[in-house]
Amino acid sequence: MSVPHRWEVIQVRLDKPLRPISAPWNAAGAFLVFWWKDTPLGHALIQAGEFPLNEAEVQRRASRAITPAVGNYSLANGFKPPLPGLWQDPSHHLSPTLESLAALGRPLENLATKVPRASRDVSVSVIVCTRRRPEPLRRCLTALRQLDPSPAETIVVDNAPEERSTLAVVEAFDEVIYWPEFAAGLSRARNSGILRSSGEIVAFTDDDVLVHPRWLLGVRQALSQDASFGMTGLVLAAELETESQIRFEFDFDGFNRGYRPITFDSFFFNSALNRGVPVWRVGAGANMAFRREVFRRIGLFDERLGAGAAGCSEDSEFWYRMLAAGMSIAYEPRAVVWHSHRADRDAFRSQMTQYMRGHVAALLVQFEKHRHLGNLRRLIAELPHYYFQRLKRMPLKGDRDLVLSELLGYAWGFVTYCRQSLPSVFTPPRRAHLPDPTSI
Amino acid sequence: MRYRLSEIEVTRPLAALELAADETGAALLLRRNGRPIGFLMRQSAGKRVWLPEELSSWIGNELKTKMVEEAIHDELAPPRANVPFPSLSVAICTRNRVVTLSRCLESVLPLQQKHGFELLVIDNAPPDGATAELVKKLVGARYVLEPCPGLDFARNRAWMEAAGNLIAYLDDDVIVDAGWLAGLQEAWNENPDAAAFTGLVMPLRLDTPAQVLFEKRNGFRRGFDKKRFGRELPGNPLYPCGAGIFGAGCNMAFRRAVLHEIGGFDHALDTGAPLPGGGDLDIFYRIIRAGHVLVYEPGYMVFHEHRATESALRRQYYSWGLGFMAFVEKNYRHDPAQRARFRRLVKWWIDDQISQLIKALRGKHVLPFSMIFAEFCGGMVGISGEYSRSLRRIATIQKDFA
Repeated sequence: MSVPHRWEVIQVRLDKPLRPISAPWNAAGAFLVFWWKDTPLGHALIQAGEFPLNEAEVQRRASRAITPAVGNYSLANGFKPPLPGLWQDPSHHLSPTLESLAALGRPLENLATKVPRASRDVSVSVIVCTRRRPEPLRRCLTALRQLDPSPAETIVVDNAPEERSTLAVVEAFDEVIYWPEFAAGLSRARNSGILRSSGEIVAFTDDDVLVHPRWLLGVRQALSQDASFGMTGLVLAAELETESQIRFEFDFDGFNRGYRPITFDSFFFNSALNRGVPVWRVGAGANMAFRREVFRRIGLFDERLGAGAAGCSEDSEFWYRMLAAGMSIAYEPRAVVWHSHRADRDAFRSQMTQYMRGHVAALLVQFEKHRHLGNLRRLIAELPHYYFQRLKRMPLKGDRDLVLSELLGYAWGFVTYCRQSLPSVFTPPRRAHLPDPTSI
Repeated sequence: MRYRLSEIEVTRPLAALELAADETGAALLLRRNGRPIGFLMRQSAGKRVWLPEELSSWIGNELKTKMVEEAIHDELAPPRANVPFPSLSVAICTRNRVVTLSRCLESVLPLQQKHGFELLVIDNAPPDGATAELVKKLVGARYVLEPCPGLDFARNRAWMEAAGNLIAYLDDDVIVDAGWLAGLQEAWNENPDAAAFTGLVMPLRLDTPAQVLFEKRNGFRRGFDKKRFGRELPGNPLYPCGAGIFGAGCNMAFRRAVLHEIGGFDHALDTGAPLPGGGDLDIFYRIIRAGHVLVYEPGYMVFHEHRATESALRRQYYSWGLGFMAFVEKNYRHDPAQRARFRRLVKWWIDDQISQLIKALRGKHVLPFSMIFAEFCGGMVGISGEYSRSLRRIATIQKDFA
């Protein structure tokens, strides 16, 4: 008898009467995501042997899991999420007074009063970049159709189209605009979509993603705060069926950045500058949005980066540029999408290669543009140290192949960068690879 | 060393806390709407008064997570149909401690009068008639004699004599909290399938250095969170062999049918002076191994009078080591499926004791070296056949009283 390794993903609504949860069929356990109405508040991992959970147990597990998020929404001090990569955050030393804690009352019902007001009349363009994945795209567009509020326009950018399968899917959705981009590369597709779009806010999602119906509400709320020019949202695992999906979610941090809003601003940027700003922790390209003004000010995505070019990190390099220009990015967990992680091990391994390749190339690009030495420090000191430690601690039968494919990506990243842009290290950047910003 | 022990209701305005001249620290039991939610201890270090603002930020900092969690927990409470509470028998096992016993009875009797449960006092091998005299004067308590000396003889006599379907055991050196029964009822209501319940044990007083030391090393506390123990406990590789996590024998309750099913308490553990412990660990362990559920409920709370002198405390730590290892030896023998885990448990215990001893030698442990060493010695004596020795002693006792 083989032990099942899949985990069941279960959404638990806490605003509805609690029910007992029985053991998921043929699973190692369950990944429970707790919601109060449309607000995700936390998750818990329950192993198969702990089932069935009676009502009291669901109540207890849920209360524990959502305490940080609810505390953060309800109280001014004491539950601030840590800023990634920062050892000392001054806001952490403040603790709430006993009086404020005793006056909490019914904190979940009061959540609705803690939401920033979204400006209603701002138009949103949703851009989905895809490349030969008609079936996931169909599901993605079906979910987008449920959006409330709905976007002003939805644009599918078909990257390097070779056949008509993507077009055929899009034709079934009347409201969706089909826009081909013949040059391969995710950055090119994104840029092409931005140039085609007209909304005040440009929101991106991927073809392997399902959006929550209230997604755009969260997007608007985050971007209606004066200081934020960009936002990212919560990416939940849609399914945890295979070992690769489970490892990506739990061992490699996945895309889940937690259930508490975070503001990434110049404080975050400056305090991490010397060590290399961990911009990849800002969010995920599968769930991000910008005010159109941002593109006018700092240009578009760097076309040397991203899937189809250096592998990935076109999103994080863009965030880096925003932060360097003094624009903040809001992480807003109330804007939710579900992502299907790569299911088979080969795809997972090649994804890890691409991630590291893109990461290295992005660090070099960031250094080239801003001359911040922290990027080089991370590149030549911290990353090698990290891999050395990981290899040293790894048990004999550990997954060396995964580390090796990441190391391959590390080397490949240098090669990719040098082939694309070596001349610009010695001469001032030409920016020829960016379209003219005045046309946005 | 003497600590001021205060109770604070966090939903009411705080008052300043002032220490008397001979008090060297403060210990706070915090309640939220009557339910215990936390315990804080702090040495005074010259400080005599804590102002309300200082208390507020101290408590706010230490208990923020618990307070938010409790507020959420209350809000999520499902509209529950009241599960009928079973007939209850409360059994106090005692031996020749009339003063302590009468204090315990004083705390239980008001609850008995209000709720009308059966209250048994099991008098274990009494040297005189003092206990009988005390109990027979009281309305609402029933006197039961158990001539065989040994706590587990008394505990088994209790469930065999009791009329209730749920038996709550108390030691005579505790007093129950006013919310004790309500806590047990709540735990039952939330877990109608559970076979056993344990509760929070707090200090009754912290008047002597030994009592403060014992409490500083966590005393009998098992935390302020409800816990439900079943077949598995992820993240604990020694589960369920490390039976100390389940609770303490001075405050526990069982379904009588389950005690019957698993054959009650083991007479060879908890035999008074020679082996004063291990019986509670054993019964918790066997209940879990029989596939039942055990629930820990902080609201089901008692206050225990800790050993007052350092020599008595040292003896208690010795008996903990002894009783623990006797429990291990017994179940190693009788539960072959768990042997590997028991071996790991013993290894973990020895490693842990050694690292505590080293810490104490460096003066970085809350306890003095001699206390930990006593526990270690108890363990070593226990592991070298104490359970077999106890079985032989018990056989003699049973022959004498047959």
